[in-house]
Amino acid sequence: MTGAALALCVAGFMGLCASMKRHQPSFLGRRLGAGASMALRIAGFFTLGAALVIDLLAAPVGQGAIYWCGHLTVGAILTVFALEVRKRASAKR
Amino acid sequence: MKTLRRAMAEFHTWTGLLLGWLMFAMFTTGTSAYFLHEITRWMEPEVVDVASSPSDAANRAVAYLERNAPQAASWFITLPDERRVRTEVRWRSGERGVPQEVRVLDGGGEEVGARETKGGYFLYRFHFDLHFIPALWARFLVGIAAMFMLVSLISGVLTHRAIFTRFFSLSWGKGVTSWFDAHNMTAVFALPFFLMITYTGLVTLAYLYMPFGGMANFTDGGYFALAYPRPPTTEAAGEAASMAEIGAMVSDAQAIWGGVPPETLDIRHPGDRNAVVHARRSRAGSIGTRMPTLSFSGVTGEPVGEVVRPYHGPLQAESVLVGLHAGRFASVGLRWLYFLSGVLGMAMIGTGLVQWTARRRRRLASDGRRHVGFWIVERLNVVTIAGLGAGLGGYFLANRLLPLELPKRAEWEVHSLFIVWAAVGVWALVRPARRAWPETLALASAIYAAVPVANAFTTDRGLASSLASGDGVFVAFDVMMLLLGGAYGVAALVSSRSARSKVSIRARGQRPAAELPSAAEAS
Repeated sequence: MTGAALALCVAGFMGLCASMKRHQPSFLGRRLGAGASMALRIAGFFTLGAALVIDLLAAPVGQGAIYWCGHLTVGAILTVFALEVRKRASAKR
Repeated sequence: MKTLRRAMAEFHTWTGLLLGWLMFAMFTTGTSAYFLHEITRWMEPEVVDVASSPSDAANRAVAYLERNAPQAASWFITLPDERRVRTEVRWRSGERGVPQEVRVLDGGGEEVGARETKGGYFLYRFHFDLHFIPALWARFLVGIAAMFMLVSLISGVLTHRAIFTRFFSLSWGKGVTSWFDAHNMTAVFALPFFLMITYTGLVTLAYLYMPFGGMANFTDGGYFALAYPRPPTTEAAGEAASMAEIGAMVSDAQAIWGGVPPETLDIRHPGDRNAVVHARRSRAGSIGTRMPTLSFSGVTGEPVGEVVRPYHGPLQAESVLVGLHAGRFASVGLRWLYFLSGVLGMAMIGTGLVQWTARRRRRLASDGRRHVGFWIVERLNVVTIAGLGAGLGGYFLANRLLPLELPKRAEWEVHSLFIVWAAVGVWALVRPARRAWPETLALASAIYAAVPVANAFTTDRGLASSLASGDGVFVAFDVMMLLLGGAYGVAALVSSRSARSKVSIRARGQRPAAELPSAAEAS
């Protein structure tokens, strides 16, 4: 179950990253409109919240929030890796 | 708002810098402490993992003590658990000034001729007691550093508008911007951890820093008697009696505590009619750290009393905050998350320190003078970031390379850490900084890479054989050493490349010739 929470954290941060104008050209290859960006942002935060719910349910009693903080950290790091990989790929093209 | 932000930026710069090097050392050694027992296991390769239940281990430990220390006034047993594979027995003759005897037993209760080492415990103690200075001074110094850390974190958050706009941003090879992005990223990604670890770290020593409430409300020792109650002391009857089976007491305690076994057994007056066994509950599995102690009559084996930590709100809160800091409750997976957050903390402090020099290098260089402050910061950065890294590698390497029969071997392992660290320090002082970085980072890389090699040659538990036998702790340790070696190696390459590119700019005459002492020597 902690794997599922971690996956949601990665997905949530990737959604947030894709919602940022600054990163859209390198991460998605194109710019999104304001509406789509906002939808991605909301979905990203919602997904991070869903990860918290799973952690609260799955982790040992009282430790859900601790797991969530750790999962957030890993999710953000993996998102940066993904963004870097995309940047390099688009720089080659 | 603008002035507040500017004031906070200034504040952040100086609170972060002033004790940043100490914070880096505390973060590094403290992070290693999440794997304290695993590091000790690697540093005691003679101790092999023989599974045994807590009650079996207790029985074997008592059998060993009856054979080897029948006259002792007290025995102290630390039982093995999932992370510790050894039983540790200590005894005391009862006379003042005679140090405790310590022996390590394996799961079968046999004494292991384990090499003398302080293991992971030294690194854990270093992160708040430091070394070479009295522990009390160290704890005050560490407390001041932690307080600086806390205000740096808060002022950093208030300062950086860029936290959200530059989220996920990394830039490579852009000087100050690159360092800023890396500092920003590492700081934000584990910010809840940093706030928690710094605050709870202060809480662990809160009474030392703020004793006034306790002093005002309690007379001598009353505070400690209330906060840390101990089982009553008993006198020996002076009459020999045979002891009840200790394993049964361990099982009883385990049943009373809902399956959680004792971690330590403190046996007073063994072999006497008044023998008492104090069993302290293991801290595994609950966040709080203050655990009850169950006392048994050593002769009848019946429980005679339990000392429970009082359920005062503040004491419970303290117990949980300390538990959050130490992470002893954490499963292996969560332990790695703690470790990763600690590594990010090291990166945050390291990138912050380097950023200080990166921001000033160009500005200060243009006026052609030598700046003492800049010089000191630049050198201390090398000494701390590359030097401590190399020193820790030296500590592990010394564990494998020092002769087993060397007198005071454990002390010499510790000395090795500081000898390597000091050597890097001297190197950083005599070399131009741009050269010192790649050279010392390469040294650290080589030391870490040598650790698994030394392990394979001096023990039969090298990486190949521990992979074959599925020994997770040894595999993880050796792989971690290789990863650290690789990381320091990459850092050495990157820093040597950037040093070279800066030299070439200067060679083309785009910088004033008298910029820094390194300029003339490097070109």
